[in-house]
Amino acid sequence: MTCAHVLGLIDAGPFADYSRAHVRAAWQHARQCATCGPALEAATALTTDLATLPQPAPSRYLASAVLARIAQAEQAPPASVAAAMPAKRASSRTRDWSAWATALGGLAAGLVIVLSMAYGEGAPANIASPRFGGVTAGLVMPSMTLEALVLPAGLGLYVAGLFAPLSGRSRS
Amino acid sequence: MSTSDRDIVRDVLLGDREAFGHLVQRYQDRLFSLVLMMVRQPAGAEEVTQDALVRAYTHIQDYDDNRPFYPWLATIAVRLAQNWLRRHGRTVRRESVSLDSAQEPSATAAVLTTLITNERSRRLWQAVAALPSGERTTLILYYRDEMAVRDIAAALGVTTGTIKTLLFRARRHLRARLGTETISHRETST
Repeated sequence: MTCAHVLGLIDAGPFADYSRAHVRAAWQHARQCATCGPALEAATALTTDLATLPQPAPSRYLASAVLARIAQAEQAPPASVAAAMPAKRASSRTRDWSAWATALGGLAAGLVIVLSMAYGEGAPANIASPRFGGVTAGLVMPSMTLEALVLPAGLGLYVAGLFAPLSGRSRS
Repeated sequence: MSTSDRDIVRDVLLGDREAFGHLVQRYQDRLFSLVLMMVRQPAGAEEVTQDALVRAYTHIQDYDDNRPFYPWLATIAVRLAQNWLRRHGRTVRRESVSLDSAQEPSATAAVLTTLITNERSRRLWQAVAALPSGERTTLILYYRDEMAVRDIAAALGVTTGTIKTLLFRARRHLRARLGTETISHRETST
């Protein structure tokens, strides 16, 4: 075993994948060698020094600060969750509203379109005709002026319902 | 007799928040000095150490009590320190890449050494602080914190081979700086 081998092994230290026999031979060489002996001694000393490397202390408030933060975290949801909460609530409110708006708008628009198709433009506003099987007897068809208002309103609500969740998301 | 980490963790899991204070007291110095070695700024190290301890508490249910507690805590701290370095515009090179990198300027090493009063320890600390970041962190985790090579590799997200190479190089660098001094110290002490 040469000095180069032994010095290499000393640098590799205990984490190297050498066999026990190899290490024993190297240590035996080091004990008798004027070059490797001091190198091995220095390496051993370095290992001891590193194991006892001082630990600079943090501020004495660190522990209490940590415990205070933990107490705070237990009372309130974690910061990340808390930050997400308002956006999440707003977004679910928006989703409720948009669902209603979509449903109502769709119903209103659909009703107007069906009635318009059934009677044609300028048809009398009487829906008590036999085509409805008498179920709606006595009811009066809304005037065309009302129809003209309900259709865009229904479509407007429908479109608003479609876009509402997007605006909610863009806030968060 | 001091309570084991496992017992403390069990108490915390049963809802005893105060019990976690024992773990904080037990590991805060060790954790702080590891983080300080990484971020090299006392205020930053304090912030990261706090975050790591709070995160350990909030994720305590993820801790495997068949394994030692400190490596788990150190892994959290190492990752938060890496995030801190990224947030503060300091590049975190992968440890394998930083093997051949030039040594970082150790301007902040002076700040660190003010926290250590013993002259000889200060010189050793300065030598360690002047090592490239991968070597520095690995050295602390292996020698001072006695973490296994496998655990260090997991914490830093590299292979065990990389850790061994980092340790080998770190030792060489340190020996070049401190070799004579260490030998003379041992010779005079015997």
